[in-house]
Amino acid sequence: MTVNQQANLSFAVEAAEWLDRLEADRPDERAAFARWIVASPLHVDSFLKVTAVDRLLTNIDRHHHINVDQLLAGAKDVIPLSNARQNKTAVAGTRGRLRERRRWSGVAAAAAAVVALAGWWAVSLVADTQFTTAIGEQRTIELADGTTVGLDARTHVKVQYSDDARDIYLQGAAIFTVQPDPQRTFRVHSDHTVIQALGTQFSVDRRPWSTVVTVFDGLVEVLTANSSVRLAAGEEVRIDRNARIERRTATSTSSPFGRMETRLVFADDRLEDIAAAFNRWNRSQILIDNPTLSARLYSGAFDANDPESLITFLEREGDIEIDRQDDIVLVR
Amino acid sequence: MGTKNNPAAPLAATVYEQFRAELHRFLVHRLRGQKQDAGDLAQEVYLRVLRLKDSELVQRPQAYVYTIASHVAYQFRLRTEQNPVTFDSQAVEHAAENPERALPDELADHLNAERMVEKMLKTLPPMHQAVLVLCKRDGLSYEEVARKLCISTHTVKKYLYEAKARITASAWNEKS
Repeated sequence: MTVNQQANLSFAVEAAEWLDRLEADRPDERAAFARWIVASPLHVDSFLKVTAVDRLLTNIDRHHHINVDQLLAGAKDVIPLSNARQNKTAVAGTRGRLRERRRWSGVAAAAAAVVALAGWWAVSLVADTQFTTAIGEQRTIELADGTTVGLDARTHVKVQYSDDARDIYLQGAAIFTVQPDPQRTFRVHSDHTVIQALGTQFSVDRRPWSTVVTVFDGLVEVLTANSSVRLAAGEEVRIDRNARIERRTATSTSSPFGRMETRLVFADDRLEDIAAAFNRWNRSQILIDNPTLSARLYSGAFDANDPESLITFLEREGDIEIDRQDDIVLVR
Repeated sequence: MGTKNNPAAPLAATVYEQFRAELHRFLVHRLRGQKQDAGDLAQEVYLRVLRLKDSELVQRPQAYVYTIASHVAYQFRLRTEQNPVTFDSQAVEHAAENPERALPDELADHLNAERMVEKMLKTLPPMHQAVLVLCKRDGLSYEEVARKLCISTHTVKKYLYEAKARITASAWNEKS
């Protein structure tokens, strides 16, 4: 199961729970659901899909091919424990035995389900840790092997360590100071790009359109579907959605580890990536509602806490319309 | 268009059901291919939901999400199709009982999707299957299912959510 699939699955579980909880039609549940739904477009996605599946289940097995008792009996057989128990109760009277069997069939079925589920979720149970920062929050975490990760605002990393690899799945931006370990490659996955390192320090910024990798120390290899490039200290590349790798002058002013700055620097970056960077820092969200505009390139340096500076800058463009609704700044 | 643009207006049950039907039709059709479109739909719905005032959204969040989504699905469909068709659950029932009749596309989609969901149901662990069948097919309450399976209602719900989630994830993750 890929990371995306795992995420989809856990969102879908939440969505299914919401679908059920909303049936009660309570104001507090509705408010909580509203908060959940605005938290991520992936929540919207899961909720709509689970609703569709729920509807498809309405006529499930209309000809009663599935026999629940057989299902449960089958489940019972795979648990040796319950069989042992049943042999023991065989000496008891008929009524007692019946009662006993009924009770155990439930226990056994539940246990069987746990066993089956264990296999099911096995993939997701492998030493899987996740860290998230809120809007404007920065945090430093230390992983089991001594590697440190500085999470930028509104960032989510999922850490998967196994015997031969250390994998990090990134949403947002982070600086990594990697503990050398020749036996286990250290890889950061960002969109369709993989950034591979031995002992080194580098940052990865995953944006809507592109990923920017900056190396501060050591050597890093950046891999995409069709090419790869090696970066030394002081070098930076931008990899766009089409897997095009572009070398450029380092814009990331992130100083050595733990002191990430709140200054955002852009060099010929798409407006959608710029807006996303600001959105990581502010409750007020900039939405670009125009594909041509999203792709327009800008350069400049901004204070991350001051999205107004970007808005003012855009307003001067003349052909851009700014529409404000509460915390949403709509640019079109 | 009044209701679609202003989801705060009270929605008659039938209108609400229609919105969901349009949406359902869209999503189920996408199961055959173009699964990416479903994600695009969610993205667009999300942006529109964000534009709502918090006070509006908390009133009837579910209705808002479905209404907006149906509207977006409708627009998506206009872009790609010539003839709008509506989903009719009675027609689906009818078609399911009379498979020899020629089926309009959307019914075929729905029935294919039902078959797919049923196939996926059978790959679930036994307890998950049992809970889903007892709840959905037999219409038992959580308490009744819990008693029958000798588990807590909490566990019944957990299995039910996981079963639905697993089917949802498989349906949309499966390579078409």
